Amino acid sequence: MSLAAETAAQLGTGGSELWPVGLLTLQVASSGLLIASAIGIPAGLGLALGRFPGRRALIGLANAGMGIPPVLAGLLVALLLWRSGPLGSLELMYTPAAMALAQALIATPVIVSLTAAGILQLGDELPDQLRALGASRWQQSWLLIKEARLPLLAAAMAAAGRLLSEVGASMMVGGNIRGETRVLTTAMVMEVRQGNFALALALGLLLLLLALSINGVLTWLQQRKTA
Amino acid sequence: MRWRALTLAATGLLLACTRPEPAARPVILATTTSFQDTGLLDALLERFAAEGGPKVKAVAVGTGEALEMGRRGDADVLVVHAPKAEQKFMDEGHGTRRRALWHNDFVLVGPPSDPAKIRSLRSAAEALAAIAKADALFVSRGDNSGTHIKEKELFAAANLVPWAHYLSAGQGMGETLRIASEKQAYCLSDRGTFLKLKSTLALEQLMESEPPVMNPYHVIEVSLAKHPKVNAAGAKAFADFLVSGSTQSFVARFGVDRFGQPLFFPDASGGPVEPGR
Amino acid sequence: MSSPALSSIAPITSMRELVLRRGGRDVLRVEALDIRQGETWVLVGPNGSGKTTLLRALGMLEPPSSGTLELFGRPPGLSPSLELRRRTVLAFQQTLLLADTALANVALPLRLRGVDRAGAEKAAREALELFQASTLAGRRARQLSGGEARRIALARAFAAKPELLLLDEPFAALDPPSREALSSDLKRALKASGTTCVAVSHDRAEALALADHVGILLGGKLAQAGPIDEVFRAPAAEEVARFIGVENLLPARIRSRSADAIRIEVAGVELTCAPSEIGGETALACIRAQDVLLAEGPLGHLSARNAIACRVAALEPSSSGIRVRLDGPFPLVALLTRAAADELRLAPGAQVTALFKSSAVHLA
Repeated sequence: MSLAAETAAQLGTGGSELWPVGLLTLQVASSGLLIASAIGIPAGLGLALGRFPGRRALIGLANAGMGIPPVLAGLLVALLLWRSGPLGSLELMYTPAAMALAQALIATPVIVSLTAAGILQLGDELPDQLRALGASRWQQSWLLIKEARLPLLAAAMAAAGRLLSEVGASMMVGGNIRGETRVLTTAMVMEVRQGNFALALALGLLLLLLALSINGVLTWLQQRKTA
Repeated sequence: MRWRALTLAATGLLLACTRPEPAARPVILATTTSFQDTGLLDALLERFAAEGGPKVKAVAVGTGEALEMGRRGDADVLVVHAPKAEQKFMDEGHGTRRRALWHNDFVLVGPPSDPAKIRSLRSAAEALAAIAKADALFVSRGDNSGTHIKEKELFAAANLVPWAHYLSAGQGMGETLRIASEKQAYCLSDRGTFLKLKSTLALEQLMESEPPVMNPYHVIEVSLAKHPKVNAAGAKAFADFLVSGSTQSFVARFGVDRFGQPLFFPDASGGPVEPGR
Repeated sequence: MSSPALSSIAPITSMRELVLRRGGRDVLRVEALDIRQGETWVLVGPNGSGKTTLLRALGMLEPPSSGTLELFGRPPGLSPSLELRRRTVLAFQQTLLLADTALANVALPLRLRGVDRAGAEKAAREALELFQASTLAGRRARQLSGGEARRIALARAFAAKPELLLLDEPFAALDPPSREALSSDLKRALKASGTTCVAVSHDRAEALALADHVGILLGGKLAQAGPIDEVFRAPAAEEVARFIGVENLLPARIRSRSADAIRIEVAGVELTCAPSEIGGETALACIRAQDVLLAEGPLGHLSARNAIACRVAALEPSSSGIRVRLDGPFPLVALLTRAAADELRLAPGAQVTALFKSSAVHLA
């Protein structure tokens, strides 16, 4: 009971600490998702429409990549970004940009795989029918993406959920630096370690709220489109 | 239109996220979880910022990993607490200067029922031997942190090897204490973290060791000669701030209001530490 | 093929020694085919005869394997230009509407060609009007019935006024009344706009209803092509005759030729045919079932050309009337309307006389 009351108090008064962390969480996850979509949607489209050797293997790789452990993604990005690494001179380690990159690595296979599946689900003939109606390559791609918007939104939801909830990669390349790279999940881990359960719970509730509202918005978009 | 608006919003978020850094290069501080978990780290960072110091990015890891970050040149300045490992780091030439900051001590904590009967014992070595002999539950950090290194030193001095109920947690001090509390096990902790978490734990400090098991913290500036990308000036500014008189007297008072006793005792005389101290 | 005056205009599409391959094997060979401005062609063939492959080649979705294909006077090459592709529209057998309103679907080809929304929707409404689908404009694609979706798909193919309209089984999966209604709407729209159209179908009746020219695809090649009456009256080969439904195919020996008739003998009976240029001693006499008339009883002394005494073997009702199987010197099939069959009081075993005009006999 007292924990609940204290949690509620944290949500109310701890605002100055809580909400910036929530905002950063949203920024990092949406940047990761944006990068992943910029790479993943064209790649998924290419895999779905292309006829080239190794296509099946690549689709399989993307499917397998959906399960990439966030800590592994974090480690791979860390190996690239730390000062002794190949991209060390960019000084990106322990920045939100590094976290967005690691999250993009986590989300890209999800987007590629679900985009390819969504486009393939439209059937073999629709891409050709669009060309036969006079679509250029670009127009064809755009129309197919529009037509597969429901599976694509589902892909975005799946990826967003994964990004909001991951902690391993954010901890590894972000470092949980206060006011810089502290996001809801890493803050929760730290607060639990410090015995601040009420604050940890408040952070958790905020995370839940964020995840629910993002899925709510995407679901609303889906239903508007189908109405 | 809706899609365009969404894309714009997302781009805005991305830009906001990668906004350019302030002109002064940030200092990367690799430190131990005990420094962060006691709350001292955040308090000192606030003071440093208020004094107009460069931005400090503090990454809280174990002492072992903090020293590794220094070896890779991924950190500019280290605050750590494992004197022997620190000395090795200095001997390898990775640090330019190592200065004493403050200390507290390690305490043996355990369940109030005290199955190994260590309450009456006088030294930490005797107590650990009694725990081993009773085959009682003991949770170790197991993460190559300063505390873990100290535990291994104590084990070696008392000729102890891990026994059946010796558990290795592989986590920070806070999580390790929590595991010990849930399992009603003994645990070696730094005094500061234990005091901070005591109210949420079902553990007690069962004995005062004589002599105390000292836990000294040092600040090390990573060598610019060895790692050309480090921010040596920023590291020096932060290290100087930590050993300064005003910081030292702040540390001496830190935690007294909440715990009735200080968490750390200042050590800085300003000069470099003699080897082997 | 076409009249000499039209022949002088360059064809919309022209094929020579064209070979189309699919899955590593030749599926269709077209020795020569020219399709000219304003013609409506239906290419008929059984399933697997390469119809769709040919249509995809004309739609520039796939290059021919060998031979020449010209569209609008030039070969499309391996990657035809967008500008060239946009002069044709191919509507697939599946309606493949996008998940949007019917109006947006019909406006799509115009939008793709850079027409602004208002202009595209205006043209789309006109196309919907042509196919009597104006009331469907605001409906979502997935709320349309099969027949409605088909109308929308045709309106969409028509909307951008392509110079060459390609239709794959345009009436597939429609019930006969909707098919007939849609077929006449399409025919009217084609004639009104002068659009050149190539449709493929497995159904001869569709070809008859829509086309002015037909091509028969059989055995991996274009077996015959030309104006519809020419092909249906005078199939060039037995297989064509069989496919287009000439049910009486009688092996004949040629007895004499004159300026106004050829006399042939079939199973000992002498028959008279219209003159033709066929050479050789033997031929196949092709007579369509609907060209065989029946008279009650034996004909007696009445002398008529091509009158054969027969006995009714079986009566088979069909969608187009009653099919009467006859036994006589050679087997014959006659197709009668239901009323005519009733009037003759036909029953198995009845004696009848089968009659057909000399112009109904075609030698192949």
